[in-house]
Amino acid sequence: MIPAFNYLRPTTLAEACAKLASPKTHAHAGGTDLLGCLRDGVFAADTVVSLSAVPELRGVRKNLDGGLLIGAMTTLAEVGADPAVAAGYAALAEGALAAASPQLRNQGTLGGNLCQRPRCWYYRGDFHCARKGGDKCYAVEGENQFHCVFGGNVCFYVHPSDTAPALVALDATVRITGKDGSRSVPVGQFFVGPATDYTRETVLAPGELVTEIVLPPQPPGTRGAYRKVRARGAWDFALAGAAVVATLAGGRVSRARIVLAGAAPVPWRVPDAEREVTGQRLTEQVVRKAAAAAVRGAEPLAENAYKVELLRGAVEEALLRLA
Amino acid sequence: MPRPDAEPRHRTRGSDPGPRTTDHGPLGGRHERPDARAKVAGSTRYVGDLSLPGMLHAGVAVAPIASARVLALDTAAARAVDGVEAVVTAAALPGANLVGVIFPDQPLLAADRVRMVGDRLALVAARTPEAAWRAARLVEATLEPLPAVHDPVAALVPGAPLVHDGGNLVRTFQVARGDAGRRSADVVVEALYHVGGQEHAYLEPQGCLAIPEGRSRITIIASCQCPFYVQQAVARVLGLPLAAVRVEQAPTGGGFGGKEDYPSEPAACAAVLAFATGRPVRFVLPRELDMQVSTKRHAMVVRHRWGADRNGRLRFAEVDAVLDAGAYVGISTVVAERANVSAIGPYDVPNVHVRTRIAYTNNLFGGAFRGFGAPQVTWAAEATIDRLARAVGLDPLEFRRRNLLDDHRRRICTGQLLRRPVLARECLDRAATLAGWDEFHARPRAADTATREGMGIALALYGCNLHHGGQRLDRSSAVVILQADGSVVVRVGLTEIGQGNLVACQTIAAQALGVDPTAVQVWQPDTTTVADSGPTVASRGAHASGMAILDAVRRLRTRLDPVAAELLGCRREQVELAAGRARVAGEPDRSVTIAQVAAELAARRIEAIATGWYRSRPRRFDAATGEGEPYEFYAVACHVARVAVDRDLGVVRVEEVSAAHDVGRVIHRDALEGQIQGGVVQGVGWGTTERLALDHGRLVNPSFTDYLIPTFADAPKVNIAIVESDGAGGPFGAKGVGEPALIPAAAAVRNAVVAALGVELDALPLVPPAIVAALGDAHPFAWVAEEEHEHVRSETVAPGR
Ligand SMILES: Cc1cc2nc3c(=O)[nH]c(=O)nc-3n(C[C@H](O)[C@H](O)[C@H](O)COP(=O)(O)OP(=O)(O)OC[C@H]3O[C@@H](n4cnc5c(N)ncnc54)[C@H](O)[C@@H]3O)c2cc1C
Ligand code: SF4
Repeated sequence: MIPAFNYLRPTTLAEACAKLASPKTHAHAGGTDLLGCLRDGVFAADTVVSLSAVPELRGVRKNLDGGLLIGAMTTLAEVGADPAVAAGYAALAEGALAAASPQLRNQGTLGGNLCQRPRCWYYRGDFHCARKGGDKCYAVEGENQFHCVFGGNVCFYVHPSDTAPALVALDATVRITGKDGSRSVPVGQFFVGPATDYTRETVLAPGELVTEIVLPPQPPGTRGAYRKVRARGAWDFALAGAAVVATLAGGRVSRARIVLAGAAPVPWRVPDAEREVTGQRLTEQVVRKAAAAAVRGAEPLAENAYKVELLRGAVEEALLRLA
Repeated sequence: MPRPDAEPRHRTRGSDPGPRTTDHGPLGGRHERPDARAKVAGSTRYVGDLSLPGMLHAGVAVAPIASARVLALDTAAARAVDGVEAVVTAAALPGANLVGVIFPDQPLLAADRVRMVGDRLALVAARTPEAAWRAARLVEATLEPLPAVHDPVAALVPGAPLVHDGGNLVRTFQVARGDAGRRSADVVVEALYHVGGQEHAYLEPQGCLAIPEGRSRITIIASCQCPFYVQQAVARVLGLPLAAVRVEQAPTGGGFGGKEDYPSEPAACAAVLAFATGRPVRFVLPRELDMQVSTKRHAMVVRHRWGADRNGRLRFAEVDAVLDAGAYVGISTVVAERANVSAIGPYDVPNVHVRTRIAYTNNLFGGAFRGFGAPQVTWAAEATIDRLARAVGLDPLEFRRRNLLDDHRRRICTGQLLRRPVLARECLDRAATLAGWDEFHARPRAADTATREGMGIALALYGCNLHHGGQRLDRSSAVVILQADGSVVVRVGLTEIGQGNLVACQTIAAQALGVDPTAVQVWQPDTTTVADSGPTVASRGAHASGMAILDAVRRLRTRLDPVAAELLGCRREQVELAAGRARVAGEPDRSVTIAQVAAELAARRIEAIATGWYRSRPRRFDAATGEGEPYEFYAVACHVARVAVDRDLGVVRVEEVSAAHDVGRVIHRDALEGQIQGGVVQGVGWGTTERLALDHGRLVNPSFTDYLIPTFADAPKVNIAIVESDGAGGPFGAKGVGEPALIPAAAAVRNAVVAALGVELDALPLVPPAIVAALGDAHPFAWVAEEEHEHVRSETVAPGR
């Protein structure tokens, strides 16, 4: 049951940001995540501000530099179906289409996908855990099959987004607008890990909104892929995943990004693995070494050591698809 | 290329398109289900859609921890919530504080002790659902945590925390035939299986509406499988005679056993609140709470020691099973009885010893679930059979063929002789043919790819209807009314919960009366219109209601046939009913319509209503030794699964399941195929992705986002072979299929995955973590050979075989 709240539908970005600066006020994009949180009492809202009437937030456009601009309110289905995204940014298209289920992709937006709240079942359930202001993490000694193997500290959830790893791999930037103006943050710095602050997941300040995702033009010879591992054929978060983007010249990798999904509280870039492939041909041997490097240093919890194997496999498969 | 997640992969191939309605009647055909259109159009009104003037909504406060003493309950804050009309605790109950079906071990409201997460502490009735649930959260319980036990095996060890005062061992069942028989075995397999629980995941959560008439009578409209259980539970907590409690079956959105025993609890809650306030009270459980507090499939730990000779004949089987009852017995004893006698499957084994113990723990309590203990022991048995087949170097099919019961070897483990024909081999052959077993194994398969294919087989022997222990409940009642226009009202005591009982009853009545099915209206049970007919469980719905309908039709015809004979100018023995007409046998041209006969009955004021009654044949069974006839008759099922397993990523895809079922006679082909498809998919879900994540007895994944039932993208193609025969004993010879449809599915998948990977898997579900862990140990197949006998080959089998 969703407790009652005020519902606003501003028509300008400025108005939306002004409203959102108040406490207990939340932005409503597709609502697929927000309404679930409110229903389950994860947090409460006095006011919900719909972004659906702000026209400039929606759609995929060509940028002047040859890259793409994707409005935060563009649905995952639209991102996945967009020919320009598919042509130049395959990892993102695959990530968008790997998320959730067809209905959810028709409703859920790219901005919402980046800003969705943790999927840890203690967090979503009736547990007052550290991230909700309590004094302990229930997962660390509890049911942690689906928790992190990298980057845990106080809190051990994994970032649920299938698009964020691809965006990090694509060197994308998030455009943010607040009531005092706009700023741009690389997606790789948009997420806040628990070591920095375990009570929030992004750098957004109250009243700030994601307005746009900026995809830089990709050098010729760039390819990308996203491999998601899940137990169920649809409607299932990543157990593990890998977004890879590489630029190949003369059969050799000149530049690579390898980002793990389902591994850490933030999309987890693995520079060691990137170094293994840089300057190399994507042979099976090179790929295997890179995959091994990708999971080096993993610190599994009691029940999630299997993730190391899955991450290794996901990196291998994704890289081999670029070869 | 972007790849959307898998879309529905296959359309299911059904059995032969049966005859349509013809002169032979609708039996075995596919006429439209009477409830289908409204359900597809969304106009069926479930309990949650019902509303009455002045109606209140119920909420419940439950214990968040699994074991505690209740020191204090403060309801002041809850009572202060605007809109709250009543808050009820144990002290304020009008009748007995008891909901246990068989054992008096479960209170409706916890008074002093909490034994599982979800134990009810207080009930709330309020003008809105929001107020009811908010108030429920404001009930302040002071709980002193007590030691808890969550492992059923540990619970039986002396010194374990006691869930109830009498000790944690609830009961022990046994089957003992022959001696240990180990001397004659050449190979022996030992294994320990952990076969986990399952959530029913019915689409419609638990719900009911209680409508009081002062404090003297009450009507309950319930989503349930057993209106008579609900009636008894409500009468007990209100202190009313049974006749003052009327239970109407609501359209019910799925049960799978989850609405057998459990709905008595919400109904008792709603009834108590209705009496406390004098107003109608609706109680619909939110999904998360429903999953958290309602019964589950029992988790079982099954230890095996089975032996075979070198010719591949089973010599002995020892099974030691422990069933996790959770905090209350509920109907665990009946589940254990079925598990106990199902543990050997459809195999001829000269020496058998089975022991099944029930243990209390502080986990969620087990209840009825499609298969009722049989899927767990079948999973174990079929795993062991495959191990033995490998040990003696036989193809799994051939090994089974050498041991299956048949017309010449009909004695099951309890000593009971199966009725002929025994169709186990027929089912095996039909399923194997549908699956293309031989072609699959003849095809070469690469051993170096990440994705491995495998095929696995499993059989189940299913005792139809209620076990001997529940024999007293195995009766049912029907009423048939011939209306003046020739249409027919049928009332039965068994429920439609999605499985197709309405269409089954409609078909049976139409067939018996020789009318078109559209002339027959079957109404859902109401305890004031039929006598107690027992529960809609044990695949007995079509059987028990159908037999009672046939009896009612027989009685009706004692009044109908003489009138028809007069109209036709023949002897009453010559009257035959078919194709909507009464006619002279052998002279189809001499006929009148049934409507004409009905009008004549009405004109003459002849009683055009008849009751019918069915009770199962009395049987002999010794619960101490497990000898005798636990069930009246049996059905066999065989499933063959084809899987693709990603070795690196641990992901199992079930591509295809070929299911052969011995059903006696088909009543309604669509409903039958629907049961088989649904049973297979539910079994596949249990075997592959469904996992109850319990943290100190608390379910941390009580939602369909986190508890992974199969989606259409996961549903395998289902091929169906129907094996029909005479002599089964149900209506027109039909046997139940609801549970056999599920029982072997997960076991077949398990055997297929093992064949694909070349490692044993001894626990379900086969989720990626389990697969990765099994491959990590990568132990080759292993078995122990009896020392005094020759050792068998012990190399790892080739994957794919
Ligand atoms: C059952 C289920 C399964 C799912 N499975 C997957 C999956 O497999 N992979 C995956 O990646 N995702 C998955 N998701 C998440 C889904 O993709 C997200 O719910 C969706 O993308 C969120 O988009 P939305 O527009 O509905 O966000 P909303 O629900 O409207 O918002 C989500 C959060 O972000 C905030 N927000 C929204 N837009 C902005 C903005 N522009 N600026 C600042 N804050 C904003 C909201 O205030 C809210 O806190 C699943 C969700 C559900 C419910
Ligand atoms: S992992 Fe984080 S969100 Fe989950 S219980 Fe621990 S602190 Fe809470």
